[in-house]
Amino acid sequence: MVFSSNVFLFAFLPVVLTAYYITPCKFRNIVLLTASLFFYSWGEPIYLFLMAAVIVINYCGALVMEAAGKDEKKRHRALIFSLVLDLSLLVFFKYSFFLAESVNSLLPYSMRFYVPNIPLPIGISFYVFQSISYTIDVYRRTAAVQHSLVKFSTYISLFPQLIAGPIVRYGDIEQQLSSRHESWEDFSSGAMLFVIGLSKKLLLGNNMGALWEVLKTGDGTLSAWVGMIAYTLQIYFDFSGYSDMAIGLGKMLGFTFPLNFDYPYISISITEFWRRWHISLSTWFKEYVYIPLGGNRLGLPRQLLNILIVWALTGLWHGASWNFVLWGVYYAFWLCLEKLFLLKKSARLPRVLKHIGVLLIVSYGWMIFYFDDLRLLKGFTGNLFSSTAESIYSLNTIFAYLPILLISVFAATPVMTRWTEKLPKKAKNVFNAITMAILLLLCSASLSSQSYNPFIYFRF
Amino acid sequence: MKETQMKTSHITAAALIFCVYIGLVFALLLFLPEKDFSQNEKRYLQEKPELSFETVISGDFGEKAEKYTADHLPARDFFVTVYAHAERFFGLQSEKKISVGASGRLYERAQRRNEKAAKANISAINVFSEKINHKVDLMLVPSAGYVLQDDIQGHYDPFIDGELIDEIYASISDQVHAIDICSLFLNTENRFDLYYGTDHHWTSFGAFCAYKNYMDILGRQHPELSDYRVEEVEGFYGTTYSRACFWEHPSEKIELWHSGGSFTVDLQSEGKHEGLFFYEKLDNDDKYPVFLGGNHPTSTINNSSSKADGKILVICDSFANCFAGFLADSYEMVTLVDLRYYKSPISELVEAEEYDDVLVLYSLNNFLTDANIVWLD
Repeated sequence: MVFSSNVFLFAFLPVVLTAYYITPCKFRNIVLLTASLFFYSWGEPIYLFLMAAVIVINYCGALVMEAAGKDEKKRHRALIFSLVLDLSLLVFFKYSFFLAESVNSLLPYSMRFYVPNIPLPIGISFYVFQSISYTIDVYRRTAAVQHSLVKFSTYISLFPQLIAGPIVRYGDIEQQLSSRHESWEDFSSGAMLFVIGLSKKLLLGNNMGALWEVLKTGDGTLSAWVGMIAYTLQIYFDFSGYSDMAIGLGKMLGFTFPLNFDYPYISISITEFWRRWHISLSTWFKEYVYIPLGGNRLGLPRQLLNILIVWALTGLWHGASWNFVLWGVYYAFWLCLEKLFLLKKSARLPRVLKHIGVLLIVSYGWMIFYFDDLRLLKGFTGNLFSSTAESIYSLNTIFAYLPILLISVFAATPVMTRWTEKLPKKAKNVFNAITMAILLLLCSASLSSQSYNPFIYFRF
Repeated sequence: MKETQMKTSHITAAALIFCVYIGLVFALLLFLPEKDFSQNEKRYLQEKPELSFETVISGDFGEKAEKYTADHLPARDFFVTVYAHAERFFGLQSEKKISVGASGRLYERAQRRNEKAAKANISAINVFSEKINHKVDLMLVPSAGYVLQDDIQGHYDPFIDGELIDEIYASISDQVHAIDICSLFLNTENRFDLYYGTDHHWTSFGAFCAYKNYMDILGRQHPELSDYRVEEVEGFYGTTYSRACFWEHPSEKIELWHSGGSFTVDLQSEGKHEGLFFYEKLDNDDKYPVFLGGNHPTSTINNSSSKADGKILVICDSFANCFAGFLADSYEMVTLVDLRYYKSPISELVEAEEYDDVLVLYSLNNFLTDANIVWLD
């Protein structure tokens, strides 16, 4: 099930919210757990067992660590055992085909072997990472062991962030699992945030995606540049829209999830960009990979190496393909450069230049991210600098999408948010109400339009 | 767990709107009766899916439930038109690909060059004409957008129908004769009467102009414009109307031109029909099937008056439906064949019936996109 679907908005959500609030507090986690399992199994019931396995592995692993008391060796073994199982499952279900193909490409034909391309279980990258964060936090004694299987399962399978994040570290919601303070205030702001996220996805992300679809075959220089901008906006609105919806849903249920996107496209350095984009992911990698590797405490050369490893893995996390690793390494390169001298050298440059520089680096990065065939990437890069004119068709498309492109660019800045924050309370309420009504109308319109399918060939 | 307290004074109007809205839609989805057919889309809507262990496990229930909620969303037609208007307001080129003219007419998107299809289809026609050893007339009809390009507003893909038709006509063999419609239509005084404003077809007047021109080329007799009694039918909403989704767009009239002859239409499997026009089809919004009852693999019109003589075979798309009626004023027998449904070799048909003339009539758009023309044999 996806948030931006009729079935979720108009069937699942009203039922779950009602069930949640008429249930006495004691049993609310069970309602959530049931709803989440139902949500997950809606598309692929079979993978429910996989998620259950991951839950059981980490739940038991923590209990074993607790039972071991002060025996560090035993705790360490339990940790390694859990991690190996978790990562093996992730690698098997997500990366086995990729690894096999990569190895195969190096072998002579006679020695190549066949590995089936298993469809990716939904959310596996997210819930495995959440489980790992729990196990490591328990090992480090920064989180208490969760004795209730219900509460632990609720944490792992919580439907708001199960499919597309944010990656919620156990420590962040440990308390909230046991004692949430639902309030009308949180519910209200959650509902607003949810609808804003929905609008980002349906109205902006989808349209930028449609524009990219037309321009990505890139005839002409202008098409390539506008296309690159379109994809840059699409991925932002899709992803941050989903995070908004997840955080908004969480709020409606009394949870406070950490911020995941903080207007990343206003950054003036790559370092800053990664503090604003997919914050929960970079935090996870910092906590559980960068710092264990030594972080910046073992000298500069080691730090650069650590950055390289962490970012290669970050890239790989996004998908089982070499271009994702390349994308990660691309950012490792820029981050190292900034750390070494770029930040200091550019400190006195005008903001605008730095901003444009970041946008260029980030947009091009998205092209590496998008094209899994490096030859296509090469072709597209050529188009960016080819100075060829495009067809009238592409030009028309660009003109047609120009207004909505400009609106999207504006929506990627915090201007609107800052303005509404400054409004007096009453005006804010009225403004929000009007916005809510308009957005609900447009989102319903968008959903209806998507499913509108006239069978014209009936009598062509 | 501590007891939670709901501070009832804090729900905002926005959140209230949200709750009421999703609750209301859910209730309506649950309690409103099921709809089975959509007039605008001309398709059957998803039925309520069966809820059982098997259907849930296989994912079938999930898929159907999503389609059901999508198809049965309350006020769906309203939402569809809201989105269509929003797209138009932002100047967006929607997938529906309909442009609006200053006159209010709706135009389909321009046809793009498709050399592969053009080549394949032309060679099929060339080979066919060799096979039947008979002259074949080829008539390609441009789109409304091409003929009325000056009317269209906003950004639109350029209409190059004239160019494309010229290129196609340049590669016909000697047995194939090209009939020009482009310059005929461009030079017609009442250009705007040639096509419908809510449908992609030509009007009866447009078909008549083409018919008159064709008969003059062949040297055959035909009634004059003033010989026809025109019957007007109101309330026609065509294909471009359904695709554009501007429901408030006014309907238009469809004209039935009576020449006074007596005709029978033989629809093969569906039996014989007296008269050219199928009045029962006028009950729907889309009234175009009044001509020959819609699309069939093959249909034959017989003119029982003594003035008409000869036989003509027309291999065509739906543009011929209103054109054929005019042909029946000049021929004793008019046979239409639709390659989408008729799968027997047409050369056999030609041999059997000894047609005087063979005409291939297509709109340019269909000629370049229909995959069935290559089966012409």
